[in-house]
Amino acid sequence: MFYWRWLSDLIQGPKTTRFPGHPDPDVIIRGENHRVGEEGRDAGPIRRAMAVRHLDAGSCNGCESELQLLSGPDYDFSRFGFSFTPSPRHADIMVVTGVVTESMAEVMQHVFQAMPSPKRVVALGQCAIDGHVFAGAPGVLGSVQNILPVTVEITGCPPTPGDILRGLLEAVEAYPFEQGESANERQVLG
Amino acid sequence: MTEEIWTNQDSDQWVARILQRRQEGVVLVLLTQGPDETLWGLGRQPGSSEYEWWGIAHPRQVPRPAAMGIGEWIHMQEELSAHGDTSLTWVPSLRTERVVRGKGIFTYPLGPVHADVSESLRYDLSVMGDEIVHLTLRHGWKPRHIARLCRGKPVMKALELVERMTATSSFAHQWAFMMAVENAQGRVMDKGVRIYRSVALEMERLASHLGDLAILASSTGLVVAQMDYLHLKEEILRWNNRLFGDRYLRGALGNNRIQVDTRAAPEIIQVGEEAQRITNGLLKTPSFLDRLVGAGRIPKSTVEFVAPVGPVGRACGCKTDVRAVWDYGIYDDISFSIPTSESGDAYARFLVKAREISASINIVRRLLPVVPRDAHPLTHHSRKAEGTGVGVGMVEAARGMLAYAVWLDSSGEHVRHLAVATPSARNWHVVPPAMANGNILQDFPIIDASFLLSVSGWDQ
Repeated sequence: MFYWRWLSDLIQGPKTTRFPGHPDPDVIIRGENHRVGEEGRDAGPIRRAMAVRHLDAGSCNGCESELQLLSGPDYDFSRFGFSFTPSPRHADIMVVTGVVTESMAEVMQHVFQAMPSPKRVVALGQCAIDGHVFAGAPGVLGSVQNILPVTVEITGCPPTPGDILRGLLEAVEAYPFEQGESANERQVLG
Repeated sequence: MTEEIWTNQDSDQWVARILQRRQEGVVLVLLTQGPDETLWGLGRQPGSSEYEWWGIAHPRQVPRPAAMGIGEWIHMQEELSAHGDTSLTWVPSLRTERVVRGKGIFTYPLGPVHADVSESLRYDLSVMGDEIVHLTLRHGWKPRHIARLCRGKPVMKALELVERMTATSSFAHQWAFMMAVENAQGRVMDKGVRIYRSVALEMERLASHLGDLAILASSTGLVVAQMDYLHLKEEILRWNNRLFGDRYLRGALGNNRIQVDTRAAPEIIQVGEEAQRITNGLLKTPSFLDRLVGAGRIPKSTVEFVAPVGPVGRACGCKTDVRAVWDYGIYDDISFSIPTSESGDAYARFLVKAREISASINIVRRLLPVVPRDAHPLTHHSRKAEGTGVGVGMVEAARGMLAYAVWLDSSGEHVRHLAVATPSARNWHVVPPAMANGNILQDFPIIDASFLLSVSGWDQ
């Protein structure tokens, strides 16, 4: 039984996409990601095997639904060394979703302070970038960037797992892929 | 639909009138806040499709609504339980008599930020040794005031806000809102539109339920089942994108156009078969069943008082399914199964959701080939009738009954007022009593995953 599955996997190929190294027609990429700040760079480059801390600052649970799929077999972000962590003390990247309400802004700062350096902040989804359709609602601040130094903004409502994967790799300077060393490694080597 | 507004009357009079209506057999199906702080009720004669509106002026003194338990005004029911004609009592969890204290009690403050990926909600979990003796939920971390933002907006602008209330029920929100608007404008959609919407709604239910079961499998440490369910959820989301143009069906109601793809029906059926295979595997896994059976049982008194809706309600004997009681979509023309269970524990919720996946696959299988293929601009498919400016829309979303009441301005194109009753806003109230019902701390993630209600639908 085991060998049969193993053989059929060899013939049919695995479920996991080869994106972003190779294009995949099934993976939808819609958004344009923006690298925003250079903050955090002075604390040194950030390497692979990154622990991700997710924080919901007022989302509609669409970004959460897509984030959960990253650990699934189709996208499998652990290929690139990413994992979700239950503690901010272990976190390298904070992923913020949602419109940033006043009560969550304070919580967000606590989480950021609890994370060790070097660290990155990723604003996930249009709500976290500028509040999207909720900009100007009572108690809605509307942008992560006004509160924390954001490294990468991933646009989309919600961004697709393909967008998120690319954005996370950009946040650790591992994307776009280059021949040989990554930009990150070259910086270390001078 | 008849409309009757009782204002400028003594509260005693309309209390008497509601009681009289109830004696006549009218069921109060929805109680919601209208403009100018009035309270509105929606009643229905059993066995009839006619609904009647009541506008009520003093929202604080209303008799307890019907046993059918639809609506979201639970805090009002709390007040009423003190002097209503009911034997039920309900003490809000934040009141002093419900707070547990004493030597040996330890309270875990969990949240608002959790491990893994989840929404912001604070759980104050009081334990005595291993046993959970009390749970207090603190919500309100992420209100976006959607109903308030919609006021004064054109209908299509309000639709953009409404579809972002809960992404995993995005289409249900669009449909319930539009149903209320069409109801207020006096428009009736033709059959093709209703088939299209029914297919979209069932596809959304599939994606939501598959995601829920994945999280439940992961909470019991069964990663293979979790990954299999996640793969199937991704398959459905990809089909949503191919057929309707968006993974979460954003804007699908306005587009009203389905992409023709002959591979769709067989592949979606295959997803259903795969899901059945995984579920069967779990049903043969003792380590899975041991954790679920008997965990998080909802106490009878809570069921009676809160009357939970959706899969949570159907798993504890409340057989409420909007598809069966409210005439929308084309559910009247096709037969479909409504799985139910009486036991009210985590296992029952798992079973109900797993069977609903099969039921939804069946509906999609039958309806997908008959969805009208050509493009349908929405406005051409309506029959103008006399509109009253106030309308109601109800659909069975993935998590249960979702109701919208919309008041339009005189032009009929702008939203004057909007009231929403989401299933999560109602069902979250059964979680604390179910959690503190003889369970131990290690059951917490499993019970939590067996409910999987949305916080964004509660905070709105």
